[in-house]
Amino acid sequence: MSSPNDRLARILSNGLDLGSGRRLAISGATELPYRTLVERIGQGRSLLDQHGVTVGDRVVILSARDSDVTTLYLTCLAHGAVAVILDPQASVSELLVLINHSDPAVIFADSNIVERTRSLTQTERAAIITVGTEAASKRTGFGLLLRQKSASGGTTYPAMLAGFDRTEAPSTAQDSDQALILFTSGTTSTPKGVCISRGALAIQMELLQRRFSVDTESRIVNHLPFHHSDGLNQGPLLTFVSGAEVIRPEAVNMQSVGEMLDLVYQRKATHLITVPTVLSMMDRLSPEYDDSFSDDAFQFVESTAGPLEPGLWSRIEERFRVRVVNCYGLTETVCEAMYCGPSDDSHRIGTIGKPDGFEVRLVDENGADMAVGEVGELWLRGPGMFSGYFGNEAATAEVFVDDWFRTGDLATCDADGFYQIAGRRKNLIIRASTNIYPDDLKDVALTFEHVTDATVVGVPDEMLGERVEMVVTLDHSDAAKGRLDLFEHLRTNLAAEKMPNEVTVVENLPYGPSGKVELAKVREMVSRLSVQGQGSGLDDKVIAEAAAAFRSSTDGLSAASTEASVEGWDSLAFLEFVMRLERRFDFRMAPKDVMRIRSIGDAIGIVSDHVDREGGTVS
Amino acid sequence: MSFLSGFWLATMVVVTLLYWVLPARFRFLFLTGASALFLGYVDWLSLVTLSVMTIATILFTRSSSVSGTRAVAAIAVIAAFFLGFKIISGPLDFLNAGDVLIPLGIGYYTLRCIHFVLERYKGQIGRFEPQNVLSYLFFVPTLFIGPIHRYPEFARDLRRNRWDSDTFLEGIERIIFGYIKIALLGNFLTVLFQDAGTTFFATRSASVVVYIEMVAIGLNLYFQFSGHSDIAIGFARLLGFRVMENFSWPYLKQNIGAFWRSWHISLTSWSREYVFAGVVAITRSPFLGTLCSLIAIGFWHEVSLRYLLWGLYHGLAIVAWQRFQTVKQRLPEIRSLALRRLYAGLCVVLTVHFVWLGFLLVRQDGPLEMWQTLRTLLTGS
Repeated sequence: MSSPNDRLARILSNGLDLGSGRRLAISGATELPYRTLVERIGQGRSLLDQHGVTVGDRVVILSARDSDVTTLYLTCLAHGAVAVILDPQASVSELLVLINHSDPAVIFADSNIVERTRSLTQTERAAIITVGTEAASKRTGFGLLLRQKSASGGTTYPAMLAGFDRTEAPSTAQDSDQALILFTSGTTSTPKGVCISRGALAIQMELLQRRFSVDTESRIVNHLPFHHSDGLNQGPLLTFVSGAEVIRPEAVNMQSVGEMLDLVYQRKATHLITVPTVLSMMDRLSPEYDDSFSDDAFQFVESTAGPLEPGLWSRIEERFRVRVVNCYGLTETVCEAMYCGPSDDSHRIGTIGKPDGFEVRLVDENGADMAVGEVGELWLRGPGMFSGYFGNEAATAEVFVDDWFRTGDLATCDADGFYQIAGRRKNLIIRASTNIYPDDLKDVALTFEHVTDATVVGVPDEMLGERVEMVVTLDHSDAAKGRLDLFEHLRTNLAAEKMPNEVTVVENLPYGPSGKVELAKVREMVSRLSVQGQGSGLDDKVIAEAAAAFRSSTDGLSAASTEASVEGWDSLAFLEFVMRLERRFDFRMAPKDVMRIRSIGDAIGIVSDHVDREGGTVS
Repeated sequence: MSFLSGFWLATMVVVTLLYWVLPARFRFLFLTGASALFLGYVDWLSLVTLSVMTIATILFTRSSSVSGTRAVAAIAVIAAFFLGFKIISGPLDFLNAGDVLIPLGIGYYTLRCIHFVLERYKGQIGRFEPQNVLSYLFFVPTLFIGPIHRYPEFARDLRRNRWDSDTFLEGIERIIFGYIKIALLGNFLTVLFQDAGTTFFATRSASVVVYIEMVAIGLNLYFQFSGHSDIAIGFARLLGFRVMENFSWPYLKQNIGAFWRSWHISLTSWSREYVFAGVVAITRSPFLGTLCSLIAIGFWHEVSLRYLLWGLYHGLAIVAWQRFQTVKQRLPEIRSLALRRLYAGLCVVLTVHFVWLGFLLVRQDGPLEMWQTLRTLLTGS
């Protein structure tokens, strides 16, 4: 694979040697041995050859099958093609825009996506290859043995690879050629596809290997999605070039976050790469998970893709006895640009640490450098920087000043060289570490026939970081019906991860003298309406009843409180708690519900269900 | 099933060795198979019973959510087996076969099955893999003498299972403690104490002889039972599983409520979660919940009048103690540290003697014998 001016090919080749005999654990139970991976990469290159794909041609990968995305991505890198990884949960209209903009030579897509995007298959010039298992029609042993016959030239990827020989010859790609395009925004007409060169990708992988001490003994748990750089490049790629193991849990949510920690424990993981929202979920787990990082091999948790609240950061470090390395980076910097840890000299809670691999400037609106402690826009420069937005020169020109990249984030730097994020200049909401551009949502809302005006704001949220609130004016005779229809319209045209948390219908949006919507007033409006909402304060009221029943202070109680953590929680006090809730919320709790209360959170859930179901009041 | 036998020791060694030698993906399958084989070898009736109960548990709970009707039906099937065996070896023991007809470990796996059904009904256990339930119910360390560990913790241990030398060494330590409790403290020292005491007082005081017997029963019961639990917990740790504790210094508790939270914890917590909570959820009466809970514990041991009385004895004591707590709040607080310590000590002595008396009485054949024993203890006649 190696070529003198292709650093990426060299590290890929090195990874193959290092990883021999090891495996990547993809999506929990599915394991992908390195030898299978190597086989598929070689055969995949022949498949690309067959479709005329050469260096610089774009290959769209659109699949929810982690093992296949991994193999296809590495195949593209080995072949010199440009991988375009898209969100498999994106809406049809988004996909059509993004694929059209990418102008690919080949599209690999899951069968359900091909089905969903029929209009794509009818109009797209590129070859479309279905990703997935072959239909299970070929059985052996009179139907008693359910093992499929070994595929010999199937019709879907990867079964179809069986019909190809391996291509071993090095590609002619150079460091300056593009390797990857990831889209950061664009649901309608102006997508921003971040182009990452092979050289930048290789430099960032080498930096991460050094900074995070990733080697053949590393076992990295990374649950982030593949259409985000932190999931893709700090997952399969970083581990592949290091001969390490990547372990991908199933989707992580409040119900399954404990299982992710069990996986960390069981596999004796060395690193966990996650986001602040998941750390916030971990913070709510019961104490039985406290030993999750107790193995000597475990090095640290990396928190990325969003601001990490200092209180949460300290609690996680103290409770789990683990170092949390907070990193700052953007898709435009491939992975991270600033690191708060893991070493003591670069670790200071509340900051994003110090730059590595990048030069940093803090500048005012005139481009003048700021002094220590003063707030300025964060500018970055370095060999790991992206090349530009694909097919969007205007957007590229807008973010570069000479070779400095304007991040749009505001920051300060203290006398010791630690940087701290102070705000945001760009119009962006970060919800659960997913970047959401309000304009994207607004554009889609305005395509709904009854929406006359719309705006989208971010509102602080303890768990998500920010909630996405859409505020609209409608010309519909029935506002409630219009709102529901708008939700349906948004669901059809937006990826699930971009859907607003709430849509509020108002008479008029507040415009300022300059003719722009005053976002601060919109936020106030949303907060006011939220406080008036039915469910507000329910947690506090249930906790107040718990405090009265358990003879405890409300300060010491939370949704996570259980019999084990509350001193006064005995069977009698528990019964008093139940009866207090019944009196306060005017309902009779079913025996099944009484028996399933193990924590105050369970009680909150039961009362909340009752309020939702019966339209009860929270007094 | 005695954990002191060479056969049991050999089983522990062989199962542990093979378990860790095998590739990880075969371990749970092997453990389930080994447990079934071992159970079938020592008691084929128990293997059949457990298999039927396991099938019923899985079949009745495999739908996405378990309705009340399904839960009741599943529990009825499981309980019918358990009570059937208990009744034909107790009140309807026409063959005079006694415990011979009781499948080994039925009391423990019955409660595990019911626990699983009820947690599925409550929604606390979501969709499950049948092989995990098999592993849970056919888990050889806890098959015969508990603890009655819970599925969610076990399923979590299945996910976390890995070789860990510290856990393994903890297991060996617990097994050694267990054998010391059973063999040295129970079978040797307690028996020695009882023999010497009763010989010395045989001609001097019938009261003291009964008292010594009562103390010996209380101590030996604890050493035997907690020793066996230690071995089960230790064996589980050898295999990388952390099974819940069963005892927590029960004879040092200051009241009967605290005693029942530290004695046979896996059983008492089961009864609290399913009998007490169930009765209270329906009736809102803690008094009834407590009585039903303790009577259920009594009948779990044996369906008989003496265990009914034993359950009532403890149930009423807990209710009385709870009532006393409300009265106690109105009494003046003891300010002297020395007096507080003396009071605490007296509470411990009173509680442990109340418990030991219960153990002594329930060993008698019936109410008349109970009364006679009590009279001898108090009056010497």
